[in-house]
Amino acid sequence: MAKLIKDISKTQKKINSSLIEKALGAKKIGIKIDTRKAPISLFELRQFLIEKLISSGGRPKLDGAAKRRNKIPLLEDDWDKLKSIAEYYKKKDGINVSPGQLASAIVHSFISHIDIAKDGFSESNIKT
Amino acid sequence: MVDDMFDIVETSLVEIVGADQEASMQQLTLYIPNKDKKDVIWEKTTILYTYIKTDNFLNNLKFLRIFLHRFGRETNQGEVVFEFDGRFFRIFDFDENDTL
Repeated sequence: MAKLIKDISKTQKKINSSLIEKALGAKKIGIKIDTRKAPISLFELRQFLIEKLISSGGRPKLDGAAKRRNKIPLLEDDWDKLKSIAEYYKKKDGINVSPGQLASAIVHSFISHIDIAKDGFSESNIKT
Repeated sequence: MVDDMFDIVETSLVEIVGADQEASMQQLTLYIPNKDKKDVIWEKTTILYTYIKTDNFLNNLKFLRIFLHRFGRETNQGEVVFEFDGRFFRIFDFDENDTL
């Protein structure tokens, strides 16, 4: 049977975020990101949106977005989160971004780290 | 269930790799803008990621507060932001002076 390693190392004590809020005189925003997987942050996402959203009179457009509208199926919970994040950016930072544009930014953030050779898509050509 | 598909091998990676302390689980991220600003102008920032040593971090929190609030005051930031353990924090009201 295949083996799965389970790390049972002792870990440092965890600090409650409310203590950080009080000790540093900060306000906690009600969004949490799992940083164990990658240090992607809402702040970096916000920076990307600030740079890429172009005002055209109506809703800002994402610079470089394809003219063709792509249909990408999303999980219901994911769509709800995207709507919440878009609403947060609009209310707190005045960034008028749609949930779809947010999804586009997040997809780009991930895919931009994948390099595919011009001559084809094969396991030997994929570099990450 | 995963446990039914695999033989679970429990081991302490800290001991195996010879790490000198327990694994850290929480990460602090600081965002340092590269110039003073008064208005809300978004610009490139230096982002520092660090895992923390819990006891040292707790014992020195007051110094981190002094740094963050002084940074906000002296460089005319509209706000100072940081992340801790995946949670995003904002400091709008800066201490009037360094307090311990």
